[in-house]
Amino acid sequence: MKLLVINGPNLNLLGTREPDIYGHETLNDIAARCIDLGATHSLEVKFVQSNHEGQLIDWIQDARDTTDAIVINAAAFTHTSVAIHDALKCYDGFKVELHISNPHMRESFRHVSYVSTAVDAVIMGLGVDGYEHAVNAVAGKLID
Amino acid sequence: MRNGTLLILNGPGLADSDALASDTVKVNSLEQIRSACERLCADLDVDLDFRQTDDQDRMIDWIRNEANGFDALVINPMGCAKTSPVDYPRYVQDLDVLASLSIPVTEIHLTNVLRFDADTFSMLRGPLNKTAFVSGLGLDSYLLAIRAASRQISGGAR
Repeated sequence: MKLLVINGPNLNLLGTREPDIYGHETLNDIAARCIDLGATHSLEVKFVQSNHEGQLIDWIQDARDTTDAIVINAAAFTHTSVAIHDALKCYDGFKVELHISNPHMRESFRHVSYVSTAVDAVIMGLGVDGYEHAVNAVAGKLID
Repeated sequence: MRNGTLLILNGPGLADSDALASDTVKVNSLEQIRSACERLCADLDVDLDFRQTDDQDRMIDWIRNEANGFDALVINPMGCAKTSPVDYPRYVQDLDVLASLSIPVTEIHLTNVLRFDADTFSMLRGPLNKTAFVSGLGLDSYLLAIRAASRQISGGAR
């Protein structure tokens, strides 16, 4: 089984960007943990990040033929991108929306999510641990 | 137990087995959920208090008067908002008491309420930087929240 973890804009700065909100770990640290964790479930985890909306859409589209599940942290595009919503609606595998912080506890402009209405499950506010929880959730859904 | 105390609160409608079984998540009963939560908490050495009520005022009392006596709270506030007998606007307003808590709070739902109840759903507001949300994983929404709470309680959360 294959899982694609997609990360949106500014997440490449994890570890240095507002660490009081997003923590001190880098995205590479998190990717390594998720890949190792996935292996314990016989789940092949691929981890990607882009600051570009179109790239995220291309990855979602490509995943239709190559992966069994998507975990997506669309970051700021969560609150703006109808195009990502539409791409996710075209993906038939299991889909999880993930956020490190809880956007609903922050500025009002983060309270709208175009991702939540296109996915099967939502995990928010559990810090960077949320990634590992999401991998476990996908493994539970697909394998265990 | 060594790894702290966890309160799981289940609100109105969640003891309705027919509603649970007909839901998209196919959980058979609240007792099935309780048993799975108890097993996981025993494995994690977490002391669990698992409750359900159909009385919205009792739920608010539990939060206001008892929740801070635990190390973490997981709350599934209610079953389907469309069929539940509660006064939903007043209930949501009363649940603002969650924001006054000093412990981590995780709101959970069996289904992805943000997708299927988007028109009627109101997300709860808990304590700042201590409020998480998990929905759409069925029984695993509970189990994920328990694992997260266990890490929060032990100081191992990242």
